Amino acid sequence: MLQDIASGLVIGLAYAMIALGLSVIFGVLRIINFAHGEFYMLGGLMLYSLSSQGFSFFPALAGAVLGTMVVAIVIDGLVLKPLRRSDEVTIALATLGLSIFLSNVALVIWGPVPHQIVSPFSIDPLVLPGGVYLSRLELFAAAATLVIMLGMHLILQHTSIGRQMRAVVQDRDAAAVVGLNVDMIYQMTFAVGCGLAAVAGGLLGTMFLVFPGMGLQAVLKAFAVVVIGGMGSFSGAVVGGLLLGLAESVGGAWLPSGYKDIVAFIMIVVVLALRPQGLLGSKQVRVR
Amino acid sequence: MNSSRRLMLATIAAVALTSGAAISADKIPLGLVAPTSGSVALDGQQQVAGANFAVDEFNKAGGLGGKQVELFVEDGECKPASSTAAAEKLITRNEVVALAAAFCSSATKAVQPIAEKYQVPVINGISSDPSLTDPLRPWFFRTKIHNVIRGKYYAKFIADDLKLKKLAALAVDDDFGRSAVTAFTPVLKQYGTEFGLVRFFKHGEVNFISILNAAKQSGADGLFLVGEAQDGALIMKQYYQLGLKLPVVALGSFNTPQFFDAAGSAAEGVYNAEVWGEGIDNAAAKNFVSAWQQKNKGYPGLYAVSGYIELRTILEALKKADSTDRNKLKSTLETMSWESPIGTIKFDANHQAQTLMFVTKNESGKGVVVATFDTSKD
Repeated sequence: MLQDIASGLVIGLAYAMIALGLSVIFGVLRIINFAHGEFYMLGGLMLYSLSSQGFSFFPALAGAVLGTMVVAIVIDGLVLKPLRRSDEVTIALATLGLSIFLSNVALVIWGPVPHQIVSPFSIDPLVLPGGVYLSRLELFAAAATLVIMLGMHLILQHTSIGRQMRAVVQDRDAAAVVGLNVDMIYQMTFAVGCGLAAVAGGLLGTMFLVFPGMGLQAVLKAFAVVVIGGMGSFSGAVVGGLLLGLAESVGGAWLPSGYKDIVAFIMIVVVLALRPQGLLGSKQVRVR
Repeated sequence: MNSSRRLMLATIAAVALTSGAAISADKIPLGLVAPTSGSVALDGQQQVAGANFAVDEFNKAGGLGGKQVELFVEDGECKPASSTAAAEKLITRNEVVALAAAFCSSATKAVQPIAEKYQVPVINGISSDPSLTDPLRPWFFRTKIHNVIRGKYYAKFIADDLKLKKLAALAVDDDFGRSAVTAFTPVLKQYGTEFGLVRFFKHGEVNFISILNAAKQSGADGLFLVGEAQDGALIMKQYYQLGLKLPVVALGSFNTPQFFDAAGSAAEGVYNAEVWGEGIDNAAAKNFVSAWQQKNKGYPGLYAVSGYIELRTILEALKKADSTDRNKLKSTLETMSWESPIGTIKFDANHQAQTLMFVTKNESGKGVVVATFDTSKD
């Protein structure tokens, strides 16, 4: 039981990391990014390519994240920028198209075969009190999620760029009137959100395997997490991730594995029924 | 003028497109339904490589009286619905004279009625659900020994040689995994070994921590795994993550190059019972391996061999029947035999072959044969 709880918390933080990027993009751009899983996948596959080229793990991870952010900036310029004033459904459909496009491009480049990325950490697990085993990589990923979340929170609340982002969230037109470069902020936010997905893809891809289809599974979890935690809320993503990870892990120990995903959906239904804005989401009134 | 010309061009294009699929008179079309995408793609692509190897070999040797064979491959994703669609397409559009299908037992089971509907011989060298050849399906032939046959020999090895008494079974949730557990339960019991815990997982699952932890807590003295390379690699990686040290006895892809690639050092020490391994020394296997290594890097894996045997069996039947008539092929398959790398392929009354079986143990990236059984004896 202790092991299930510990594993659940750790995997939950990993889910939270995937969801963070999705939540940032939704919070600022108001885009439901269906292609988020594909940026996660790009992060993993680029890390695989770089590390199999001989780069060591952390430089390769940095390269994969930067590479994914560049792809995100290009895509923002080509696809999302022309649609800035379109309604949300159009943009959501565009990201759905992007998702299909990116996963097929990845199929062409990397092929359908899953690859393993060699972990920078020893394969021997750490034994914690209570006979709980956790791998070093799992713990690193969990710590990275917390650090990134804290960093994002500090940037948003205490820096000029954070204030600018919040201003754009509140009222895009007013922000533009007072001289903020709204387009730049959108582009940067999208790139950062996708970069976060790439970090998650790299770390989780190393834990599991990387292949072009890996994004779908991840994005479904990420959507579950943000719906439970609250769209656009960072702490909500972490709480949602932890809850989902715990429920799956503890539930998975007792339920047949086919039913494991039911836990997530039951949680979504309950949250939507009782608190539609998510556990930590706030009801937002937004001027457009 | 302009629009009528465009219409004409479109018509020509349409005719060209539809007739492109029709067979050219000088080639014999054969079909293969394999999972070239999805969670079994690792293995499926090897099957395709092996099948192509058999066809190239046949064509280079002159084909069938100068006629070359052409292999059409369709992706069945190891899913019943996609595999039936793929088989229908190969039979109706490519007009294949015989078919190899469809890797996973559940997918193969779905293709069987299609074979009967169109009366096309279907060869399978990978699926191991016993019910595929029991009762007899007249148009279906299997070169792969099924789980009951495997159980007979592997259970004895597990109980007598490895001395395991209580196993925790983690099996893929399809006809392959379920039939393995069902087939092994009674034979293991004969030797005084039991399953202390049985858990099924979905194809493509990534997080096995909770079921591995359940296995850890069950007090089992060994782990019984049934699955393919991708699932297997993740299970073994997470097995180490949980600090498990139980012996692992497996069925499936646990000695293939794809498994070694995906699992890395986590592959070490795993036992696997299959029709293939490293260091098989019968003449047919040696010939195949040396021919394979002239064209490909490395030792051929289980699924490359299986794809090769599936196609070779069809090609041998074509040669012996000296005809592309499907009924003649079927009756030839029923009586013929040939020496394959995995032993003699000869079909019994249920169209089931009894070949060699090898128990392998993974040592530094190789599945080394530790025991050989001839399942056609006794």
